[in-house]
Amino acid sequence: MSDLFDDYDAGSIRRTYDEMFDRYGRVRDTYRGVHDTLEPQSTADLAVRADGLSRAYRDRGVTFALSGQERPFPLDLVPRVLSADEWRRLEAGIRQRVRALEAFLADVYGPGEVFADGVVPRKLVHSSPHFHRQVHGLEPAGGVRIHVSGVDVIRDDHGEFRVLEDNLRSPSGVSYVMENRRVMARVFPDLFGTHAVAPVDDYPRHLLGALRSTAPVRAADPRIVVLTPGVHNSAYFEHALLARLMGVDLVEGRDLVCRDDVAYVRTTTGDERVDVIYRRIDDEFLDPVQFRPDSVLGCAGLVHSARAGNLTIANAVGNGVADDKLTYTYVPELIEYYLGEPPLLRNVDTYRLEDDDQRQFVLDRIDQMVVKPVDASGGYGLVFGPDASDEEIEQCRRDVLGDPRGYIAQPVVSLSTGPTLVDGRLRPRHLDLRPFAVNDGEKVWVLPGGLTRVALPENSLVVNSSQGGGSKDTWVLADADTSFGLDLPEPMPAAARPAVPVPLQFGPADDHERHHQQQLQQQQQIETSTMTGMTERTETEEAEPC
Amino acid sequence: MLSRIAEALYWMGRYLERADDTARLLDVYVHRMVVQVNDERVGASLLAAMGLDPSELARIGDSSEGPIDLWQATEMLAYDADNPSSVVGSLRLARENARGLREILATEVWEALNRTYHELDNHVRAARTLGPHLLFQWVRDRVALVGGLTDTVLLHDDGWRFLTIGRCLERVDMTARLLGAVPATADASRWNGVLVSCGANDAFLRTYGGDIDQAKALSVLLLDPDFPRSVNYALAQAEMCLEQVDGSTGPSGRRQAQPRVSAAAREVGRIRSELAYTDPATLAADLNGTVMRLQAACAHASELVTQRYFQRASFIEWNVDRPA
Amino acid sequence: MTWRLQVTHTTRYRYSAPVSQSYNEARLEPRSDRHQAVLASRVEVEPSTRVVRHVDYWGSVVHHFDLQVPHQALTVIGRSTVETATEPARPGDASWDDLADPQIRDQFEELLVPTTSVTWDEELAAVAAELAAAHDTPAKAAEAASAWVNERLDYKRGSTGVKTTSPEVLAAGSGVCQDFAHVSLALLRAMGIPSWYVSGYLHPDPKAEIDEAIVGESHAWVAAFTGTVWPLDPTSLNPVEERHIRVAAGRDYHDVAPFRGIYAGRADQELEVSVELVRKA
Repeated sequence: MSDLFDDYDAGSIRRTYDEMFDRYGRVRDTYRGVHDTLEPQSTADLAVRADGLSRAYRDRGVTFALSGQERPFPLDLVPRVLSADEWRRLEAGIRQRVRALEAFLADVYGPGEVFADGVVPRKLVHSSPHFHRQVHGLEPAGGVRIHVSGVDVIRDDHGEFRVLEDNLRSPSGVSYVMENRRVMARVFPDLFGTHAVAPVDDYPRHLLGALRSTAPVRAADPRIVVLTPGVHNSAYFEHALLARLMGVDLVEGRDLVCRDDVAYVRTTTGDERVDVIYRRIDDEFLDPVQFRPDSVLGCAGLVHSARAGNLTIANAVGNGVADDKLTYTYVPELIEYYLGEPPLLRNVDTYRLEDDDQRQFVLDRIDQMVVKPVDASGGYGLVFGPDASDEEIEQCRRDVLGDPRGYIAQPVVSLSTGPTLVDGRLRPRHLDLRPFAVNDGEKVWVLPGGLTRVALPENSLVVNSSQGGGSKDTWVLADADTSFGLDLPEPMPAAARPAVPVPLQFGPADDHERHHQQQLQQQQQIETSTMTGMTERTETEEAEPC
Repeated sequence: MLSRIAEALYWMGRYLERADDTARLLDVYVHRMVVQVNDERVGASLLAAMGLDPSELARIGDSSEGPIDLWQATEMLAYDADNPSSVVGSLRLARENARGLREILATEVWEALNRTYHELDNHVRAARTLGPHLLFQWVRDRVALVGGLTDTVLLHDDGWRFLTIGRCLERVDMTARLLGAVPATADASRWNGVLVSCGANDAFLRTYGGDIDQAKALSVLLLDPDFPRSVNYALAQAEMCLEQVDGSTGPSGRRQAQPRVSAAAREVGRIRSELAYTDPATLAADLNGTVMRLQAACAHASELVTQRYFQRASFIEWNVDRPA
Repeated sequence: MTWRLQVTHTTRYRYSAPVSQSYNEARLEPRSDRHQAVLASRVEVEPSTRVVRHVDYWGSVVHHFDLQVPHQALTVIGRSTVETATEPARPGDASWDDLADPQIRDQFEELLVPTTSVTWDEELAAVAAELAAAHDTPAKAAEAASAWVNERLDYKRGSTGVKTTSPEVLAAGSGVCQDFAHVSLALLRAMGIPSWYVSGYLHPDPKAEIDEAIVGESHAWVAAFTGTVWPLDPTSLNPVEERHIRVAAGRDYHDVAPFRGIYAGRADQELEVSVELVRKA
């Protein structure tokens, strides 16, 4: 019996939801297999495996750049497990959200009915730094704006999934999902033996499919490229991986040129036309004609090429207006408005600080609130009320009063915890989840699972990799209703089976039989020759051919 | 093939080869020619052969005056990470180029090179206490591993060809530089060292036996059609790759009254023919001239390849038109 | 009275060294509305290239084009023939309460908030408050604001640039039509009157002879929503009638700049702009 789970506090005291244990310390059904596999392991066993994990990551270059340093992204040994049922509900909620936000963007950059109908104020959109008038009236060639999205969800104290934020620009992290699974399968094969886990390596195929089907109609066999800011970008590994797995070129801005509203890529045999750009560059740097003229990462003329219908930019320019943290507060209304359905996933309670009453409410209890800048990602600029010093609270109060549109506030929601290997023991650490959705215009496909991020410092609720976060392999388990396309082939009838396998051939030096004979003979010769001098000659003579 | 990718592959090839050749060269100097360690000209001639100015020593924090000994030269040529012609610097740059090629390189190639990069620091540390031979040996092994993988798991398409062109031109250039550092008075033992540092020792023994002189050594190093590290062999391989890369071009598809080879292929072919059709005795008599011509041809060919295939979008500096 | 005006707007750039690439947008084509009818319009570019037309967020016509051949000069000519003052503009009869209505304020939200150029400090805000208090309708206040600006500022070239903000203009005490417009917009928006920056041309001679070519220039004025959209020219205080041609409207100058673009290379540029106006009828 090992001591891995000793002193594991499963939230009974803190009232947070633990992924593995219920409030009475009983293992939840979904985690039964994982728990039973882990429990007998010794600390030393796990240390060896953990070491294997991080070495595998470093060798493969699965790193993220932090302050210019390449670091392996910490992967925790214990997977995060979701039941098929939990996943189905989550998946449906994400699909619904993406469809509604897609409709919202089409409306904002088109007729603007949502304003005319008074569902959201124009100010919401106009004041967003990501609302780009440059793309107003631009109909994306494939009709899709949110090709790829990452919807961050957390579990509240009751175990209910809530949406924390939407990422509709260029959400990153999907490469970790694929790599985590690869490495886990290598280091922890015993865990997979007992579970049917939904595969994640399908992602590049779905992404490629979506990029193809949203290409300009002109292109029967569209040329697709992935546009990266370059090797020094923190997500470069992901850009390269996706390009490689989709079998398309990974380009930088300087590889591209636009002429007469058509984009080309420079090759050793001249310029070649490009139809779809899956870009991982921010809007501001994408096209110096429209945005920052000092950008050296993008390519001049891309927006006009898209407007002319000659180019699909994925994700579309200007999506940021829909994943703005203030817009987020309207998403439930948007779902009702565009789809006529009640939202399947709830938001985390959120206060709009530009609203006088809500602001006052928040300022009165700011020490119990999380205040977030509307326009920041990666956990930067976030003020966590209960932990903040008096000066920080005062500064935050001034910031909010100075720019109410710039902030939102949420009551402290304690993220759920899951067992995580810390100093050789399993300890509860807070988790979130970022599932990835791919929209091909017909259907929104959600990658089973997603990226589970874990806050490694004790009690920390900040899971971003830039702030000391790690990740976990995320499993969606199969049940009777799911197969994940894993249907095994029917056993082959005996008649169809190929006949006796053709044996391997060997060269003279590798002829084991002869080699063995020779060796035996040589040994015999030595043995016999030590006994009598005559035997040797006769035997050799006998072996001589006529 | 993207121009930028082709260029990165070409330089990855060049830097890998440079790391390998420099490691071989230094290994011989440091370990085989121990007698000459105290010869103060050795360090200076090494630096000169690599096109380095002794004043650069100051950059790595060595402010000593006077002649440069072998250890100082080793410091610059082996460990100095900021020197693109040092063993460590070349490996770092090879990996830097490869980073931008991850989706082109087979995973195994990238992993082999990336691991080399990550283990480099440890090996440098060990070499500083246990002597540089361990590092040189390890570098040769790693480069051989990466080279073997590029030849066996990489598609032999234009990308591989650009990589090979880079390796071959670098090999010719490095061999020429090495020969340029051999004094005219070199004896059999010195030539033996040269052969070893080019990995040509066994090729020589199988061809000529143990009787070493300048003419025979030069024939193996410059002219041998079967020895893969000979100048002739490398030039022929570069020429072949250049011709194949060239095959698909021709902007209009119209007939042209000239051979379908690029200027770069012509330059490589020219110098290879020059070697092949010059009396070996003449080559040896004017070894310095031969070496200079080889280096110039490599530099020229490299420029031509760059012009022709790596149409570099000179980093565009956009200016904003002032409104009226 | 209706005039027919023909305008030729020539923008010529000379570069000190060859420029290898350039990408450009021109806003030179007027659009027809209740007050003017565009009879003909086209944009010419030298060196010649394909020019593509689209309508931007503000409803202005944009011609965009790129040049990929090295060039040392770039000429863009906009030629238009427009029938002006087809219907006289009238101030609307909106009340202050009408404009304070949340729905109206939401509808014109972008035209009520400051921009980088159109901002108001305490001084401008105080002037706006005074003007608003002194007039019982927004239309009268708008007219008064225009007059106040005309009174306060001297028309003087070179004292301001394209990036000068309204308070800076006021401090300088002088400027060109663009500055008059920006200060007026600051007052109007501070009073809660939605307002646009309008760019176009003004024929300088009220008694122009038919077919006489006059050297003119680009002009800028404002339009305010006071029940209807109503143009005001704070620079000349003339009513916006037969001598004005409207080309584009937006929040400030930067939304309607007649020509903007980027070019590759380290060349310096020299700019020459000329506008020729001819009354045809």
